[in-house]
Amino acid sequence: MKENKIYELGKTLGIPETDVKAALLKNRNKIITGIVIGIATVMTGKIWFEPLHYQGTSIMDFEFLTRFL
Amino acid sequence: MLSKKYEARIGLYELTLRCNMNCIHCGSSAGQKRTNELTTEEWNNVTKQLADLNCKEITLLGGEPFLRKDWYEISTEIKDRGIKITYMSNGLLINENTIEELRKIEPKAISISIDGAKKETHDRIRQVKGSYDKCIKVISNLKKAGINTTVVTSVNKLNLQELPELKSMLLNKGIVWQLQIAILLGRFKKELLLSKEEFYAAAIFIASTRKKYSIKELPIIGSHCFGYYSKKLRNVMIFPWNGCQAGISAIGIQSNGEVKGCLSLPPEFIEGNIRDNSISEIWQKPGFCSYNRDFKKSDLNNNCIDCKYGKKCRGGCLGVSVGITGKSNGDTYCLKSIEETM
Repeated sequence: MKENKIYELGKTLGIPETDVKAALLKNRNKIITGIVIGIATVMTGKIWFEPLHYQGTSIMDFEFLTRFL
Repeated sequence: MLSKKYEARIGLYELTLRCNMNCIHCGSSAGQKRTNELTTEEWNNVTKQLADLNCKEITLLGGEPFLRKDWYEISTEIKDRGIKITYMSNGLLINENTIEELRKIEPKAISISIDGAKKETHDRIRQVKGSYDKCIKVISNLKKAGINTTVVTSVNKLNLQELPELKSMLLNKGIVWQLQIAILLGRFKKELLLSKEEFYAAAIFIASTRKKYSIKELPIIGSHCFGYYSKKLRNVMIFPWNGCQAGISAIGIQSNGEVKGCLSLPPEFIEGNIRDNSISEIWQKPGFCSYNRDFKKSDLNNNCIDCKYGKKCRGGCLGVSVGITGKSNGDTYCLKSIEETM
Protein backbone atom coordinates (compact mmCIF):
# COMPACT_ATOMS: atom_id res chain seq x y z
CA MET A 1 0.00 0.00 0.00
CA LYS A 2 1.52 3.30 -1.10
CA GLU A 3 0.57 5.97 1.41
CA ASN A 4 1.96 8.78 -0.76
CA LYS A 5 -0.40 7.77 -3.50
CA ILE A 6 -3.35 7.95 -1.10
CA TYR A 7 -2.24 11.46 -0.07
CA GLU A 8 -2.14 12.51 -3.71
CA LEU A 9 -5.53 10.96 -4.40
CA GLY A 10 -6.92 12.63 -1.29
CA LYS A 11 -5.85 16.02 -2.66
CA THR A 12 -7.43 15.26 -6.03
CA LEU A 13 -10.66 14.25 -4.34
CA GLY A 14 -10.69 17.43 -2.27
CA ILE A 15 -10.52 15.58 1.05
CA PRO A 16 -9.24 17.77 3.93
CA GLU A 17 -5.63 16.83 4.74
CA THR A 18 -6.53 16.17 8.38
CA ASP A 19 -9.01 13.49 7.33
CA VAL A 20 -6.47 11.78 5.07
CA LYS A 21 -3.84 11.94 7.82
CA ALA A 22 -6.24 10.51 10.39
CA ALA A 23 -7.04 7.62 8.06
CA LEU A 24 -3.37 6.87 7.53
CA LEU A 25 -2.36 7.28 11.16
CA LYS A 26 -0.76 4.22 12.68
CA ASN A 27 -2.82 2.42 15.24
CA ARG A 28 -0.07 3.05 17.81
CA ASN A 29 -1.62 6.37 18.87
CA LYS A 30 -4.95 4.72 19.47
CA ILE A 31 -3.32 1.98 21.57
CA ILE A 32 -1.61 4.60 23.76
CA THR A 33 -4.92 6.43 24.18
CA GLY A 34 -6.53 3.13 25.18
CA ILE A 35 -3.89 2.44 27.81
CA VAL A 36 -4.26 5.94 29.30
CA ILE A 37 -8.04 5.61 29.46
CA GLY A 38 -7.65 2.13 30.97
CA ILE A 39 -5.34 3.37 33.74
CA ALA A 40 -7.65 6.28 34.49
CA THR A 41 -10.59 3.90 34.74
CA VAL A 42 -8.77 1.69 37.25
CA MET A 43 -7.58 4.69 39.25
CA THR A 44 -11.05 6.09 39.60
CA GLY A 45 -12.31 2.69 40.69
CA LYS A 46 -14.75 2.39 37.78
CA ILE A 47 -13.62 -1.17 37.19
CA TRP A 48 -12.19 -3.71 39.61
CA PHE A 49 -9.00 -5.36 38.48
CA GLU A 50 -7.59 -7.48 41.32
CA PRO A 51 -3.86 -7.33 40.50
CA LEU A 52 -4.01 -3.58 40.53
CA HIS A 53 -6.00 -3.27 43.74
CA TYR A 54 -4.80 -3.79 47.28
CA GLN A 55 -6.87 -3.99 50.45
CA GLY A 56 -9.89 -2.38 48.93
CA THR A 57 -8.05 0.38 47.21
CA SER A 58 -6.24 0.69 43.96
CA ILE A 59 -2.46 0.48 44.06
CA MET A 60 -2.61 3.07 41.35
CA ASP A 61 -4.78 5.26 43.50
CA PHE A 62 -3.08 8.50 44.55
CA GLU A 63 -4.07 7.83 48.15
CA PHE A 64 -2.31 4.46 48.11
CA LEU A 65 0.78 5.83 46.42
CA THR A 66 1.13 8.62 48.94
CA ARG A 67 0.30 6.66 52.13
CA PHE A 68 3.96 5.70 52.70
CA LEU A 69 5.30 9.18 52.28
CA MET B 1 -38.99 -26.30 9.09
CA LEU B 2 -36.04 -23.97 8.59
CA SER B 3 -35.01 -21.87 11.56
CA LYS B 4 -35.93 -18.16 11.62
CA LYS B 5 -32.24 -17.50 11.20
CA TYR B 6 -32.84 -17.89 7.47
CA GLU B 7 -35.79 -15.76 6.38
CA ALA B 8 -36.18 -14.40 2.85
CA ARG B 9 -36.88 -10.84 3.96
CA ILE B 10 -35.34 -9.25 0.85
CA GLY B 11 -36.26 -10.30 -2.68
CA LEU B 12 -34.32 -9.20 -5.73
CA TYR B 13 -36.10 -9.46 -9.08
CA GLU B 14 -34.22 -9.22 -12.34
CA LEU B 15 -37.42 -8.34 -14.22
CA THR B 16 -35.65 -8.63 -17.56
CA LEU B 17 -32.09 -8.81 -18.82
CA ARG B 18 -33.05 -6.48 -21.65
CA CYS B 19 -31.43 -3.08 -21.39
CA ASN B 20 -31.44 0.16 -23.36
CA MET B 21 -27.95 1.03 -22.19
CA ASN B 22 -24.68 -0.83 -22.66
CA CYS B 23 -22.68 0.08 -19.55
CA ILE B 24 -19.04 -0.90 -19.60
CA HIS B 25 -19.25 -2.11 -15.99
CA CYS B 26 -22.47 -4.14 -16.22
CA GLY B 27 -21.99 -7.25 -14.10
CA SER B 28 -24.90 -9.02 -15.83
CA SER B 29 -23.79 -8.14 -19.38
CA ALA B 30 -27.34 -6.90 -19.89
CA GLY B 31 -28.64 -6.02 -23.34
CA GLN B 32 -30.72 -8.78 -24.93
CA LYS B 33 -33.51 -10.35 -22.92
CA ARG B 34 -33.10 -13.92 -21.73
CA THR B 35 -34.88 -16.67 -23.59
CA ASN B 36 -38.16 -17.58 -21.95
CA GLU B 37 -38.42 -14.79 -19.39
CA LEU B 38 -41.08 -15.08 -16.69
CA THR B 39 -44.60 -13.93 -17.53
CA THR B 40 -46.58 -11.45 -15.45
CA GLU B 41 -48.48 -14.31 -13.81
CA GLU B 42 -45.27 -16.09 -12.95
CA TRP B 43 -43.79 -12.97 -11.34
CA ASN B 44 -46.99 -12.41 -9.38
CA ASN B 45 -46.84 -16.00 -8.23
CA VAL B 46 -43.24 -15.43 -7.07
CA THR B 47 -44.46 -12.41 -5.09
CA LYS B 48 -47.24 -14.45 -3.49
CA GLN B 49 -44.74 -17.14 -2.46
CA LEU B 50 -42.30 -14.58 -1.07
CA ALA B 51 -45.10 -12.87 0.87
CA ASP B 52 -45.87 -16.28 2.43
CA LEU B 53 -42.21 -16.48 3.44
CA ASN B 54 -42.56 -13.14 5.26
CA CYS B 55 -40.65 -11.07 2.68
CA LYS B 56 -40.52 -7.38 3.65
CA GLU B 57 -38.91 -5.70 0.68
CA ILE B 58 -38.49 -6.39 -3.03
CA THR B 59 -36.10 -4.61 -5.37
CA LEU B 60 -36.95 -4.52 -9.06
CA LEU B 61 -33.94 -4.30 -11.31
CA GLY B 62 -32.65 -5.64 -14.58
CA GLY B 63 -31.47 -5.03 -17.23
CA GLU B 64 -33.77 -2.06 -17.18
CA PRO B 65 -36.93 -2.92 -15.22
CA PHE B 66 -39.05 -0.22 -16.88
CA LEU B 67 -38.57 -1.89 -20.27
CA ARG B 68 -41.15 -4.44 -19.14
CA LYS B 69 -44.59 -3.23 -20.03
CA ASP B 70 -46.03 -5.05 -17.00
CA TRP B 71 -43.75 -3.44 -14.39
CA TYR B 72 -46.72 -1.57 -12.93
CA GLU B 73 -48.83 -4.72 -12.66
CA ILE B 74 -46.00 -6.62 -10.97
CA SER B 75 -45.38 -3.67 -8.64
CA THR B 76 -49.07 -3.43 -7.74
CA GLU B 77 -49.11 -7.10 -6.73
CA ILE B 78 -46.09 -6.49 -4.48
CA LYS B 79 -47.67 -3.39 -2.95
CA ASP B 80 -51.00 -5.11 -2.37
CA ARG B 81 -49.24 -7.82 -0.41
CA GLY B 82 -47.80 -5.20 1.93
CA ILE B 83 -44.21 -5.53 0.70
CA LYS B 84 -42.06 -2.43 0.22
CA ILE B 85 -40.68 -1.80 -3.28
CA THR B 86 -37.46 -0.25 -4.47
CA TYR B 87 -36.36 0.18 -8.08
CA MET B 88 -32.93 0.31 -9.68
CA SER B 89 -33.08 1.98 -13.06
CA ASN B 90 -30.94 3.83 -15.56
CA GLY B 91 -33.70 6.45 -15.73
CA LEU B 92 -33.99 6.68 -19.52
CA LEU B 93 -37.61 5.51 -19.73
CA ILE B 94 -39.00 7.42 -16.77
CA ASN B 95 -41.38 10.00 -18.16
CA GLU B 96 -44.35 11.89 -16.68
CA ASN B 97 -46.65 8.87 -16.99
CA THR B 98 -44.13 6.60 -15.28
CA ILE B 99 -43.77 9.09 -12.43
CA GLU B 100 -47.55 9.29 -12.08
CA GLU B 101 -47.73 5.49 -11.79
CA LEU B 102 -44.77 5.41 -9.42
CA ARG B 103 -46.60 7.84 -7.13
CA LYS B 104 -49.45 5.36 -6.89
CA ILE B 105 -47.02 2.55 -6.04
CA GLU B 106 -45.35 4.71 -3.34
CA PRO B 107 -41.96 3.03 -3.59
CA LYS B 108 -39.56 3.12 -0.67
CA ALA B 109 -37.00 4.55 -3.09
CA ILE B 110 -35.94 4.63 -6.69
CA SER B 111 -32.26 4.49 -7.56
CA ILE B 112 -30.97 6.13 -10.72
CA SER B 113 -27.41 5.59 -11.90
CA ILE B 114 -25.20 8.59 -12.49
CA ASP B 115 -21.65 7.57 -13.34
CA GLY B 116 -19.95 10.89 -13.84
CA ALA B 117 -20.21 14.59 -13.07
CA LYS B 118 -19.40 15.38 -16.69
CA LYS B 119 -21.85 14.31 -19.36
CA GLU B 120 -18.99 12.93 -21.50
CA THR B 121 -17.91 10.58 -18.69
CA HIS B 122 -21.43 9.36 -17.88
CA ASP B 123 -22.30 8.86 -21.54
CA ARG B 124 -18.99 7.07 -22.19
CA ILE B 125 -19.50 4.65 -19.29
CA ARG B 126 -23.17 4.07 -20.17
CA GLN B 127 -22.45 4.09 -23.92
CA VAL B 128 -25.55 6.10 -24.74
CA LYS B 129 -25.09 9.64 -26.01
CA GLY B 130 -27.33 12.20 -24.33
CA SER B 131 -28.19 9.89 -21.45
CA TYR B 132 -26.66 12.17 -18.82
CA ASP B 133 -28.97 15.09 -19.60
CA LYS B 134 -32.01 12.82 -19.60
CA CYS B 135 -31.07 11.19 -16.29
CA ILE B 136 -30.46 14.50 -14.53
CA LYS B 137 -33.87 15.71 -15.70
CA VAL B 138 -35.52 12.49 -14.51
CA ILE B 139 -33.93 12.81 -11.06
CA SER B 140 -35.21 16.37 -10.78
CA ASN B 141 -38.72 15.28 -11.84
CA LEU B 142 -38.75 12.40 -9.37
CA LYS B 143 -37.80 14.76 -6.56
CA LYS B 144 -40.49 17.23 -7.59
CA ALA B 145 -43.01 14.39 -7.46
CA GLY B 146 -41.95 13.66 -3.88
CA ILE B 147 -40.48 10.23 -4.63
CA ASN B 148 -37.47 9.20 -2.53
CA THR B 149 -34.58 9.21 -4.95
CA THR B 150 -31.12 7.74 -4.71
CA VAL B 151 -28.25 8.37 -7.08
CA VAL B 152 -25.99 5.35 -7.47
CA THR B 153 -22.45 5.81 -8.74
CA SER B 154 -20.33 2.82 -9.70
CA VAL B 155 -16.81 4.04 -9.16
CA ASN B 156 -14.05 3.04 -11.57
CA LYS B 157 -10.86 4.64 -12.89
CA LEU B 158 -12.80 6.78 -15.37
CA ASN B 159 -14.98 8.61 -12.84
CA LEU B 160 -13.10 8.51 -9.53
CA GLN B 161 -11.75 12.03 -10.00
CA GLU B 162 -15.24 13.40 -10.60
CA LEU B 163 -16.53 12.52 -7.14
CA PRO B 164 -15.94 16.05 -5.70
CA GLU B 165 -17.92 17.58 -8.57
CA LEU B 166 -20.72 15.04 -8.11
CA LYS B 167 -20.74 15.89 -4.43
CA SER B 168 -21.28 19.57 -5.21
CA MET B 169 -24.05 18.68 -7.63
CA LEU B 170 -25.95 16.62 -5.08
CA LEU B 171 -25.45 18.86 -2.07
CA ASN B 172 -28.68 20.14 -0.48
CA LYS B 173 -30.85 18.38 -3.05
CA GLY B 174 -32.39 15.87 -0.64
CA ILE B 175 -31.06 13.01 -2.75
CA VAL B 176 -29.31 10.01 -1.24
CA TRP B 177 -25.96 9.28 -2.88
CA GLN B 178 -24.75 5.70 -2.86
CA LEU B 179 -21.27 4.79 -4.01
CA GLN B 180 -20.18 1.33 -4.99
CA ILE B 181 -17.15 -0.03 -6.80
CA ALA B 182 -17.42 -1.55 -10.25
CA ILE B 183 -16.28 -5.16 -9.98
CA LEU B 184 -14.82 -7.64 -12.40
CA LEU B 185 -17.99 -9.38 -13.43
CA GLY B 186 -19.81 -9.35 -16.76
CA ARG B 187 -18.53 -6.69 -19.16
CA PHE B 188 -16.20 -4.81 -16.83
CA LYS B 189 -12.52 -4.77 -17.85
CA LYS B 190 -9.68 -5.15 -15.38
CA GLU B 191 -7.88 -2.01 -16.62
CA LEU B 192 -10.66 0.15 -15.18
CA LEU B 193 -10.85 -1.52 -11.78
CA LEU B 194 -9.84 0.80 -8.92
CA SER B 195 -6.46 0.05 -7.39
CA LYS B 196 -6.48 -0.60 -3.66
CA GLU B 197 -5.09 2.90 -3.05
CA GLU B 198 -7.91 4.40 -5.11
CA PHE B 199 -10.45 2.24 -3.31
CA TYR B 200 -9.14 3.36 0.07
CA ALA B 201 -9.10 7.02 -1.03
CA ALA B 202 -12.73 6.68 -2.16
CA ALA B 203 -13.59 5.26 1.28
CA ILE B 204 -11.87 8.24 2.99
CA PHE B 205 -13.86 10.51 0.65
CA ILE B 206 -17.13 8.96 1.87
CA ALA B 207 -16.13 9.05 5.54
CA SER B 208 -14.89 12.63 5.28
CA THR B 209 -18.02 13.80 3.45
CA ARG B 210 -20.23 12.16 6.06
CA LYS B 211 -18.31 13.94 8.76
CA LYS B 212 -18.57 17.31 7.05
CA TYR B 213 -22.23 17.28 6.02
CA SER B 214 -25.36 16.39 7.93
CA ILE B 215 -27.78 13.74 6.68
CA LYS B 216 -30.07 16.54 5.52
CA GLU B 217 -27.34 18.25 3.52
CA LEU B 218 -25.93 15.18 1.81
CA PRO B 219 -26.91 11.65 2.77
CA ILE B 220 -23.93 9.78 1.32
CA ILE B 221 -23.44 6.05 1.84
CA GLY B 222 -20.94 3.47 0.76
CA SER B 223 -22.59 0.26 -0.39
CA HIS B 224 -21.61 -2.99 1.30
CA CYS B 225 -18.50 -3.34 -0.86
CA PHE B 226 -16.97 -0.47 1.16
CA GLY B 227 -16.17 -2.67 4.15
CA TYR B 228 -15.19 -4.16 6.52
CA TYR B 229 -14.27 -3.53 10.17
CA SER B 230 -12.03 -0.57 9.43
CA LYS B 231 -10.12 0.63 12.47
CA LYS B 232 -9.84 4.13 11.11
CA LEU B 233 -12.80 4.99 8.93
CA ARG B 234 -16.10 5.17 10.71
CA ASN B 235 -19.51 4.78 9.09
CA VAL B 236 -18.47 4.25 5.49
CA MET B 237 -21.34 1.80 5.17
CA ILE B 238 -24.71 2.70 6.61
CA PHE B 239 -25.25 -0.62 8.38
CA PRO B 240 -22.81 -2.69 10.37
CA TRP B 241 -21.51 -5.59 8.29
CA ASN B 242 -22.75 -8.98 9.42
CA GLY B 243 -21.61 -10.99 6.45
CA CYS B 244 -23.05 -11.61 3.00
CA GLN B 245 -26.84 -12.02 3.23
CA ALA B 246 -27.29 -14.31 0.22
CA GLY B 247 -29.46 -17.19 1.42
CA ILE B 248 -29.59 -15.72 4.93
CA SER B 249 -32.07 -12.90 4.40
CA ALA B 250 -31.84 -12.32 0.64
CA ILE B 251 -32.88 -14.23 -2.45
CA GLY B 252 -32.39 -13.29 -6.09
CA ILE B 253 -34.59 -14.41 -8.97
CA GLN B 254 -33.42 -14.03 -12.55
CA SER B 255 -35.83 -13.18 -15.35
CA ASN B 256 -35.84 -16.80 -16.53
CA GLY B 257 -36.80 -18.07 -13.07
CA GLU B 258 -33.34 -19.18 -11.98
CA VAL B 259 -32.59 -18.59 -8.32
CA LYS B 260 -29.38 -17.39 -6.67
CA GLY B 261 -28.67 -16.10 -3.19
CA CYS B 262 -27.82 -12.71 -4.70
CA LEU B 263 -28.19 -11.43 -8.25
CA SER B 264 -24.61 -10.08 -8.24
CA LEU B 265 -23.24 -13.60 -8.24
CA PRO B 266 -22.07 -15.26 -11.46
CA PRO B 267 -24.04 -18.12 -13.14
CA GLU B 268 -22.24 -20.93 -11.28
CA PHE B 269 -24.18 -19.85 -8.18
CA ILE B 270 -27.60 -20.71 -9.67
CA GLU B 271 -29.29 -23.15 -7.30
CA GLY B 272 -32.72 -23.85 -8.74
CA ASN B 273 -35.55 -22.57 -10.89
CA ILE B 274 -38.94 -21.42 -9.71
CA ARG B 275 -40.48 -23.29 -12.66
CA ASP B 276 -39.22 -26.59 -11.24
CA ASN B 277 -39.71 -26.00 -7.52
CA SER B 278 -41.51 -23.58 -5.26
CA ILE B 279 -39.44 -20.82 -3.66
CA SER B 280 -40.06 -22.37 -0.28
CA GLU B 281 -38.62 -25.70 -1.48
CA ILE B 282 -35.56 -24.00 -2.93
CA TRP B 283 -35.06 -21.83 0.19
CA GLN B 284 -35.36 -24.79 2.54
CA LYS B 285 -33.33 -27.20 0.42
CA PRO B 286 -30.33 -28.51 2.36
CA GLY B 287 -27.18 -27.00 0.91
CA PHE B 288 -28.88 -23.86 -0.44
CA CYS B 289 -26.32 -21.04 -0.26
CA SER B 290 -24.04 -23.38 1.64
CA TYR B 291 -21.21 -20.83 1.20
CA ASN B 292 -23.07 -18.77 3.82
CA ARG B 293 -25.30 -21.19 5.71
CA ASP B 294 -22.70 -23.91 6.22
CA PHE B 295 -19.77 -21.54 6.41
CA LYS B 296 -16.70 -22.65 8.36
CA LYS B 297 -13.68 -20.52 9.17
CA SER B 298 -11.61 -22.92 7.07
CA ASP B 299 -13.58 -21.70 3.99
CA LEU B 300 -11.89 -18.30 4.19
CA ASN B 301 -9.52 -17.41 1.39
CA ASN B 302 -6.94 -14.82 0.42
CA ASN B 303 -6.35 -12.06 3.01
CA CYS B 304 -9.27 -13.30 5.15
CA ILE B 305 -7.48 -16.43 6.36
CA ASP B 306 -6.84 -15.99 10.10
CA CYS B 307 -8.80 -12.71 10.28
CA LYS B 308 -10.39 -12.36 13.70
CA TYR B 309 -13.64 -11.16 12.12
CA GLY B 310 -13.70 -14.09 9.67
CA LYS B 311 -16.54 -15.98 11.30
CA LYS B 312 -18.87 -13.00 11.33
CA CYS B 313 -17.70 -11.40 8.08
CA ARG B 314 -17.43 -14.62 6.02
CA GLY B 315 -14.89 -12.94 3.77
CA GLY B 316 -16.81 -9.85 2.69
CA CYS B 317 -18.92 -9.47 -0.44
CA LEU B 318 -19.03 -12.78 -2.26
CA GLY B 319 -19.56 -11.08 -5.64
CA VAL B 320 -16.48 -8.90 -5.22
CA SER B 321 -14.44 -11.82 -3.91
CA VAL B 322 -15.32 -14.12 -6.81
CA GLY B 323 -15.17 -11.31 -9.37
CA ILE B 324 -11.74 -10.08 -8.40
CA THR B 325 -9.93 -13.16 -7.11
CA GLY B 326 -11.89 -16.06 -8.56
CA LYS B 327 -12.24 -17.44 -5.03
CA SER B 328 -15.13 -17.14 -2.60
CA ASN B 329 -14.97 -15.83 0.99
CA GLY B 330 -11.90 -13.66 0.45
CA ASP B 331 -12.73 -10.12 -0.64
CA THR B 332 -9.36 -8.42 -1.08
CA TYR B 333 -10.97 -4.98 -1.26
CA CYS B 334 -11.26 -4.85 2.52
CA LEU B 335 -10.48 -1.67 4.44
CA LYS B 336 -9.17 -3.53 7.47
CA SER B 337 -6.84 -5.67 5.42
CA ILE B 338 -5.61 -2.61 3.48
CA GLU B 339 -4.96 -0.76 6.76
CA GLU B 340 -2.86 -3.66 7.99
CA THR B 341 -0.53 -3.35 5.02
CA MET B 342 0.11 0.36 5.61
